[in-house]
Amino acid sequence: MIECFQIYKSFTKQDVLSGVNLKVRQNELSLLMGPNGCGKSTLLKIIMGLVNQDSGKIISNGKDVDDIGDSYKAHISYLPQDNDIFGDMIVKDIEDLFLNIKKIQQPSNVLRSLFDIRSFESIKFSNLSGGMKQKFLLSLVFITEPNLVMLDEPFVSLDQKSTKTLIGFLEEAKKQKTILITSHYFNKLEPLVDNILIMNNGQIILDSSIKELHANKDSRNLEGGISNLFDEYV
Amino acid sequence: MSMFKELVKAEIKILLKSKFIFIAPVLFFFCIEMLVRFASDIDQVLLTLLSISLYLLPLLALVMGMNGFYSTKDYISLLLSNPISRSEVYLSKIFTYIILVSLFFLLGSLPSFLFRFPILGTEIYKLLYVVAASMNVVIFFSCLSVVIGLLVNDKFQGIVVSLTVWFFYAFLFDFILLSIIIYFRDYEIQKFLLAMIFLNPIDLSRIQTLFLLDNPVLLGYTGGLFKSFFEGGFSIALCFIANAIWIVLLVYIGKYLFKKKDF
Repeated sequence: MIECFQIYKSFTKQDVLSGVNLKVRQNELSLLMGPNGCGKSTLLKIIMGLVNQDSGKIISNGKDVDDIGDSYKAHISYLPQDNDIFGDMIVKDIEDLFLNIKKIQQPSNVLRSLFDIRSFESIKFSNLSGGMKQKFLLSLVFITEPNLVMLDEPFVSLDQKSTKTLIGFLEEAKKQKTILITSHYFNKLEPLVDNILIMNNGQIILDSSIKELHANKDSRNLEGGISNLFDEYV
Repeated sequence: MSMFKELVKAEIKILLKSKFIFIAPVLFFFCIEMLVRFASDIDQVLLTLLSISLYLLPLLALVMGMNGFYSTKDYISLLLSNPISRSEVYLSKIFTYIILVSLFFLLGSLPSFLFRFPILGTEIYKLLYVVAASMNVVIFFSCLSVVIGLLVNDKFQGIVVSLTVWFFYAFLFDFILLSIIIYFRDYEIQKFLLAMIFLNPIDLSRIQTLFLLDNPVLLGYTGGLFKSFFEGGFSIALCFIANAIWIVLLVYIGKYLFKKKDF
């Protein structure tokens, strides 16, 4: 699917990523964690082509994305961390625009129905609450039936009910899709996660399956294991 | 092409949501209506329209471009996370601003002329020259607004830079030119001054239109300089080529910056 090799990035002479190697495993849910400012969002943005890396390669299905252009994004959906995106556009218009961009004839409406997007589809995006915006953007991510989904802090602004709904949805979605999530909510995602990736100081310091993590750390839960790892590496 | 159309349509929709921008065509309409109503000579009206267009349209294009660029920055990042090339997104933005500013100018200025079409008669081509010059500055300053937006991250700073650029091209440039003429009047600086004129698209559009309107009295010093070096027809062609080079250059600079920009 997607692999990153030796990704370096600095902003105004401050190194953000220092040689990141990442492999997003097919049909698994990977959780990318790390302290604030360690470069998680930047890495996702580089994969999506929003930020240009200083050096390094992104490989999509065995091909260098520099060679194949933007076509690799056709089967990827991305949820950015900032959700104040569409200004005064009407929710339904945004959806139509998206379907046009992705050239989708038959949208997938599962998350749309679960979050009841229809109830506010005629409202301006700017007039939605933070939680409604997040729910709408999440429904937009899954409306196109992508193969790879990258969600940057998907639980931000969501109430408990919506968080539960999203976790239930992700549980089903991960059977057919590859999912990469950045989040600080270890405990909420614990039952879903196949892989843990831990970043610190612009590098991935741990890339492990959840089973290995439990086995190695002898912890009763994932969060405990993560804490132990942070103590060890950071 | 269909994607480009979709992007332009969406961007226009976003920008038109702000009712505040409709002030521009209304203001244009009142200015032009007053001119046409109270002026007896149509040539005088056209020249005043030219002055208004050459000084106000750059400001409108810069402000609208800056506002549009900054208010849709996050939207751009979402577009770029889809299989759409950066060039397509960039060109769609410029095209949107050009369309909107041109439309506002035409909607605001043309009704006054069209209602009085009989008085223009065979001289309608003069109005077209003025419209062409106006479109030229709209294209140039719309491209410039995106370049400024790409170079300056902060919206407030971007608007300050835009206003400074507008002030420089619209007023300061002529003042600098005049100062050079006065201080170096004893030297042979005509060729240097001629080269300087090529740096200002507003001046180039003004000179080009005045040549086309065959109105040498209003050419001023810079236009006169042009006339002393080149034939009328050649001057027009030179101005046109210089303006085209400016626009192509800006489009390419913007395209390069957009490609390198981190969203």
